[in-house]
Amino acid sequence: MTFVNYSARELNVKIVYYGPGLGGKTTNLRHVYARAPTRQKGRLISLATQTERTLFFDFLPLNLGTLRGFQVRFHLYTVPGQVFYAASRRLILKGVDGLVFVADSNPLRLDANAESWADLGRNLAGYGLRRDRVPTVIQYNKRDLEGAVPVDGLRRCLGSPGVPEFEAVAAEGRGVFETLKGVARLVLSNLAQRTPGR
Amino acid sequence: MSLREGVPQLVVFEEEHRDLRQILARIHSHSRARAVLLLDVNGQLVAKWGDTSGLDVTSFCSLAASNIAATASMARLVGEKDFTILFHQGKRDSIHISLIGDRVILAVIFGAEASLGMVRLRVRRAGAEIEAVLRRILSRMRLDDRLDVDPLCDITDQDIDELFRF
Repeated sequence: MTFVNYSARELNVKIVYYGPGLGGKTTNLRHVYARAPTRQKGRLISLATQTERTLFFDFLPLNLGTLRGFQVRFHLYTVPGQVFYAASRRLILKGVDGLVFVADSNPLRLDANAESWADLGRNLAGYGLRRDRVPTVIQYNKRDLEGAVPVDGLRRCLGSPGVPEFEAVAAEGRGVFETLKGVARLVLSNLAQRTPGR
Repeated sequence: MSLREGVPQLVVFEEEHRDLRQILARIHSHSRARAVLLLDVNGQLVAKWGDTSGLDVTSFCSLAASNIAATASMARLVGEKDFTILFHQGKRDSIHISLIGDRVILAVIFGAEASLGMVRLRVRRAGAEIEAVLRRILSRMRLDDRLDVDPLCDITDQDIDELFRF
């Protein structure tokens, strides 16, 4: 749920990075955090286990500057990818404005990608949302892996959803900002179309 | 009607924002709290009052909202709809968090000079006032033609690139 404060002239948007465990969701956020200027970012909060696996979520607030006189703030969240954290994943999706699905190019994770994509659809349905109605981009991560599944194969494994796609090596920062810009474009365009009164 | 019903986003105008701040100011002075924050259930700050110096407000709001969401899930597991009040007691400061109208969260941060009983009393009294303002916001969101002055109309790729200059 986007929050528009006409008094403070602020626009707040919630973006959630979703995908299978160890697919690179937290790595995306860490790269954004590392690259963003200090004045434009808040603290990167990670609610993680002792082995740095995401337990509840990672959270990174980004202050992107002004758009038509409005301060645009993006709140980036990741969900825990591990199967048994299903309840936490569902909670983080509450009020989501845009989604980045981080798919793993490792051939051994094809089933995990498909399962996570299906899980996303179920969890959105729990909030009365249809996956094809929420602005979504897909990031095919770990493209540098030897034996990486061709993009076409990954696309088919997700049922060829027909959303914007980005190839990435998040650990090196490749494709991270392209993905974020892609989802930002979708979310802001979508918001313009559905603002009440329009 | 539920306050969450039928409105996809929350839009706050100057008048209601001022009213909400006044309510927070009253809680702050009457309960002798350090700071009072109002956020939406997704963790976006709506209004605040008091001393928030040294507090990472954005992170605080995100974690408070997650706290409420996680607790509501636990409530459902034991057959409750939700737990509308959370209280965390620290050595120096304590936090009282309450869910109001299923749409916003009121967080009061207070120290030893305030009492939990007084905070609870003031929060309970303010809850109805905040709900009334929220209902006004929601009805205006359905009617107000100022929303036609949309900051996002005709957004271009160049606009997006400008936002990500780093």
